[in-house]
Amino acid sequence: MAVEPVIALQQLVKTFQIRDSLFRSHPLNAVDNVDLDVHTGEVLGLLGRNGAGKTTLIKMMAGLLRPDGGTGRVLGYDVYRDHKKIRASVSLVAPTADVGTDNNLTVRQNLEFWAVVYDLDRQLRDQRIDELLTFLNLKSYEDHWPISISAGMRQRLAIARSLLVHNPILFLDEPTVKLDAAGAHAVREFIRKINREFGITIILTTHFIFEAERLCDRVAIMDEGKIMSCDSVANLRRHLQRYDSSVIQCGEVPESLRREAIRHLGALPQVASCSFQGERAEAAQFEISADPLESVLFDALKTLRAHDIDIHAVDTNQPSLEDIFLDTVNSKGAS
Amino acid sequence: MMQQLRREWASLMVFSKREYIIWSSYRVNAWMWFLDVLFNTTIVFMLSLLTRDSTLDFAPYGNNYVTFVVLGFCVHYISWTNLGDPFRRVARIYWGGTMDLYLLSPLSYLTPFMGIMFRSVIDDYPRVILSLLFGGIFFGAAYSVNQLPLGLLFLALILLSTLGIGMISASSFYLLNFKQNTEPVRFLLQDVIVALAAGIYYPITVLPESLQILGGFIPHTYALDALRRLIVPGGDFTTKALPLQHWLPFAPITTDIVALTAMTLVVLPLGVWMYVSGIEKARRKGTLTRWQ
Repeated sequence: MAVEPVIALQQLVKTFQIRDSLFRSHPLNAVDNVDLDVHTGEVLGLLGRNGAGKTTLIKMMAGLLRPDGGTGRVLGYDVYRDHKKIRASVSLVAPTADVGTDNNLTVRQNLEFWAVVYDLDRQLRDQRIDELLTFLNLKSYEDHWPISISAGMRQRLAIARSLLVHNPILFLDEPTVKLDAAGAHAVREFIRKINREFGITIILTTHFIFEAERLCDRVAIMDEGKIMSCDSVANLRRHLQRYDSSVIQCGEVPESLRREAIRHLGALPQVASCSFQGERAEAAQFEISADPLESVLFDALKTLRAHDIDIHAVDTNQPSLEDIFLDTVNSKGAS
Repeated sequence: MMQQLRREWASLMVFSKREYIIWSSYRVNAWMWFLDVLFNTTIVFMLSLLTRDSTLDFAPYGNNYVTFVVLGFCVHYISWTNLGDPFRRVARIYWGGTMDLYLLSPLSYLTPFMGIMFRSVIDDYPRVILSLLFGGIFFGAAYSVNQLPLGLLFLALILLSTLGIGMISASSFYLLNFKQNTEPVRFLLQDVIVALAAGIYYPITVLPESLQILGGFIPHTYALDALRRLIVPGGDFTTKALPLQHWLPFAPITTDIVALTAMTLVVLPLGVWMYVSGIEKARRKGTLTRWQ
């Protein structure tokens, strides 16, 4: 039986009017015919440049913004009719931790305030706040003013606020954007932990490619309001219009042997191209492009050994998510 | 339904607790607040010395100028909170980015709005009591309490009607996209018409007729007229003073009740409707809050 996605969007559209002058404006498609399914328990990354439409899409999914077209359901609720129910069933962390954090209240008082606003059961409040403070390593700071703790800790406080009620979906809008390396690393660890331990579906926006690569089960690449590609990083690599390549460094190879080896390597299944560079022994190397590379690399090495070629080193060069992102955005869609 | 009401009430309480913690955490602020009320009442007393031996006629509002103006202050403080503050508070949560977070809760649109007003409620409502106390203890204000229930009714009506106008003012933040520090509804009513024609410091009978008519369009005029007749010693229940009282065949207090009730019944639902419409418009336009 097919599992119903927690979020299912079809052809979702949001257009803003951008004012050029007092009497003139032009439409901007912030989200342009987006189709997207998100499944229970997954971490989906929305990757894109500033202005790509990531935050607009998140706000529509969270019921904070009314779409202009298309259809969509979040947790089974219609994005047009049931926006109040959607809002009451999802959590959100804004890009800056100071949103929703009152510097006049202590860390604990902040959580106590939001626990009531989010209608956390009275009997559960203290227990849940204690659990979260411990879980997010904030227990020793519970009586501190937010202004006196680091930005990373304030971001953890914002995450704690979003976890007070165990809503099934958590939206994180650029959760590490204003943090230093250590703070960002800690927050990423907590995101992984939240997903693993609470089974919460997480949708996060980021323009840090390595962050998407490390955290996300799937990545949706957005540009100019459209989702250009959406898949796991491994599948995005596979779909990329570029083959994985491997450089095999070797000893000196006579001209006749070189031609023979290239002919045999090129005949291997899945090999797209094969070339040789470097006349001198210390710089001689074969370069093989294949899809997928893993399945052919062993045979390629065996072929070279069969031709008595000394193999010194093997280096594979898989495209990074950054390559995929740039390729996708530049070619306006890889798949 | 009951569960929803319980939830909204609990949230209002936690908003008020938060605002009280913030308000009381600045002790200097609390002292300045106390002295501010005292000095304001003192100024009124000084003015009353000027009028003590004059032939100025306060009829039908009795014969104690300090009481007269202290009551003016009371309505002014209420108006300052209920009419003047909602726009600023909505602007605060917009620029602070928290409107989204409030909406991501099971609360109605109105509860966070009411909750964030508590800072002003804490700050301004006690001024009403303190003004009455300072006036009575130090400066010779006297209060007639024979018609206290009726006085409280007028107090409730001015609370509700000014809140309704305050919500209309606040809704302009989203409906009319006024994103700066002020907007026309609040400015026109609070800073112009109330200041000029409500009669906080003087009976509006001293104003030109056109301004008296203008004063007839705000609830403050009727609340002040009734409260002064009821509470200032020597207040007269029969002499007509406001233009509407001359036009309608009722006793002045009845006219005040009719006018205030009618205004409340118009502006309060209108304010709620406009505020909710403003939020919905912001949901469509993407202007609900501002992050970063």
